[in-house]
Amino acid sequence: MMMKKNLYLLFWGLIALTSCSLNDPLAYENDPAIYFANKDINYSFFYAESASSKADVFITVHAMGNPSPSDRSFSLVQSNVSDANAAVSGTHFLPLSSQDVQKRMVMPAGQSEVKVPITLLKDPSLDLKTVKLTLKVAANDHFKVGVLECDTTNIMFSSLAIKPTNWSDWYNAFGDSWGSVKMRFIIDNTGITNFDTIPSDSSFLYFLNSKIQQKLFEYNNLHPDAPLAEADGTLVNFDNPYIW
Amino acid sequence: MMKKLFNILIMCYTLLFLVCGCYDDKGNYNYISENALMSVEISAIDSISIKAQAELKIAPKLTNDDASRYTYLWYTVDKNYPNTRDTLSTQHDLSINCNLGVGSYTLYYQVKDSLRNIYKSVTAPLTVTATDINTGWYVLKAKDGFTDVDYLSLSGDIKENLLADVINTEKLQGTPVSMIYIPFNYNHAVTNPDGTTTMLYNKSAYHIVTNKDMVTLNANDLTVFKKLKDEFYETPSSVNLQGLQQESFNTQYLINNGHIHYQYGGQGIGKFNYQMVGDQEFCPDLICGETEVYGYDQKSQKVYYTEFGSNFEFCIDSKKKSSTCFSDSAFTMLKLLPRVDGGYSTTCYGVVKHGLNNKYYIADFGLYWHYYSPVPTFSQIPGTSGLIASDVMAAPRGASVIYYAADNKLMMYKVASRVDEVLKTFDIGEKVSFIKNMRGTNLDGTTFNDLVVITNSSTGYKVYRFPLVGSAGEINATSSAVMTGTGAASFIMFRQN
Repeated sequence: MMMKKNLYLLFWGLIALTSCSLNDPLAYENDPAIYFANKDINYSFFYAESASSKADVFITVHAMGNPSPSDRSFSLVQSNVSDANAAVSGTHFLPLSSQDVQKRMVMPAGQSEVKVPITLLKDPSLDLKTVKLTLKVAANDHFKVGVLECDTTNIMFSSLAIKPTNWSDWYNAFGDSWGSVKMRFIIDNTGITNFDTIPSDSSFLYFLNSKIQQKLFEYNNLHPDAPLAEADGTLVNFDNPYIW
Repeated sequence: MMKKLFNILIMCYTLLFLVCGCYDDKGNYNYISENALMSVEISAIDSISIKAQAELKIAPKLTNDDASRYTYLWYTVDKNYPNTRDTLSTQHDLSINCNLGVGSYTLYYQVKDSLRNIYKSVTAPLTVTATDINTGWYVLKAKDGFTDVDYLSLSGDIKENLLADVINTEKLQGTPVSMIYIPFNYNHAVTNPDGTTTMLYNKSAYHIVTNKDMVTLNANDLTVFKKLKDEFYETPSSVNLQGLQQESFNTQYLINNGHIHYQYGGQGIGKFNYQMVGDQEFCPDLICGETEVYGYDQKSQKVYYTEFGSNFEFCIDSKKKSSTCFSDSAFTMLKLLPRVDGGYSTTCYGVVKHGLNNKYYIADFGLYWHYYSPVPTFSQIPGTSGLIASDVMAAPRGASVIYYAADNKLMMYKVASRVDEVLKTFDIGEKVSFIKNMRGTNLDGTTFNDLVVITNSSTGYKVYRFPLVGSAGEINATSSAVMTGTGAASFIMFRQN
């Protein structure tokens, strides 16, 4: 009985000692590699605050392995060229092979992550459709492909208005209906271009509603024969009746 | 065997219920009235506003009191912390130094029959302020192109130039328009030095408005909540403030350039909204009901209705289904005068000018929801009446008269008989600048129903309080001025609690 008890003590003592041993940190010891560390991107020139024909969106490229004391170039390519909705290099975005873009594809010395601007071009064709640019990591002399699940990233872009996913949260400000003409009117008259975050002050939403309703009233008074309407003829309104 | 035992048990239970049902209940069903049980009656206690550390004395009025039988208890409950109870006294009368913190409380007075362990109690709102400037009279006066406020307490103490000399903030630019006291439900956002925001909820406040400027003060300590640039979510491009009203739920309506901006009581951060939708040009006088607010649009010649900032609806004659009571004759509203405010019915006079024959009329009408009730009736004002030329006028609550100013005279126009009467002639050089029928409670607990009149002269202003006598609008005009000051006064607000 005593023997059995000692064996138990010995066992748990060993466990405890094992737990206390110092482990060397695991280190990435393979060749340097890169992967994308950003989510897919949606962009619309519709919400752009400037009238510029270009816009930069940023992708994040992460390097595996120790930082290098010198700059290291990496390579990205478009992998969806043959797709029906593929963005066209030189028409919808600055060519990846251009000198400007090549200069951006550099992991700076001493760093393991870099944000790379991808320049989108506001081509007239974007007024009617949304295109997609799929970027893929390509191996070069400095980097191999890192995490396979993260070796591509998508950028969808257009000049069309896109209904915010949280549109119902803006009900007190802009009502229930949604359309691209209505959206443009809101942007032009309130200056809001980012609809991701709802103002915490509920009265501010009612202020927005009063303001946009007044602006609509003034617009329709100025255009009695052509009140503000969507392309299909639906009259724009900002009604937000109280919902019990 | 088991089944038999089960059946016996069921029978026993059934028998037990039957026996209970037949039991002769000897309970006491002869109810005793509340007063027979505890005959003491406690009169209501008025709301109280007191400066912190000041002496708080209340002698409650009790009938059928019996000190040998009852015990007494005074305690407060903090409105922000309803679970916090603070005992003030166990004496019959309350006489303490008020050491409560600045804030809003409910005061409880409880009379208890300890033998029967029953009690009666009354409650009253108690506001503890950091300043002794609270209940009393607030006079808006213009001097050297600026507006300031003079204060007259219920006990007769005067403090001049509150903004410049007491609060040490800038005087307001422009001439006086209005002042209101917001007893509760005012919110304010404070920006901290580190950029974070602290919200202050359910505060009491004052709005002080001139034609060019505005300030909002914390009524508890007279610190500045907001100045003009912070009063609106978006300050109007042209500031010409003309009127300010508040309904009973503390939603405030401000008129700028004929447009109405509202601030919903208890919501948001205490800023005025964008102008309400439309191209109306409202007369500066608004009529406030309990929740309804009415204004007269000079453009469409219609009375519009709103409630809690809802979109405007114009009022209609429900029988004729018509909204053209005023517009048929293109009436311009010179003055919209409330006669009964509060409650669900609002009656008023309109002093109007006919757009087709240029004659002047009294419009006598009422408003209920978005209906005229009763619909306007129009009686022509004689061309000889000074009412036509006056820009200072008021109507009492009840009597069918309109008071108005005619230089140094306080006049009364009797609507039914269309006759003018001089009520009071002030000294030569004293010009009447304000008239209003005001009611309230004096320091000694007596109520007043006065016609309050302000006059201006080269030496300053005077405030008179003339008690209304009878029901025909007559006044006791013998009173001398209750307050004098420098500058030209044109508005007075009475703050009860």
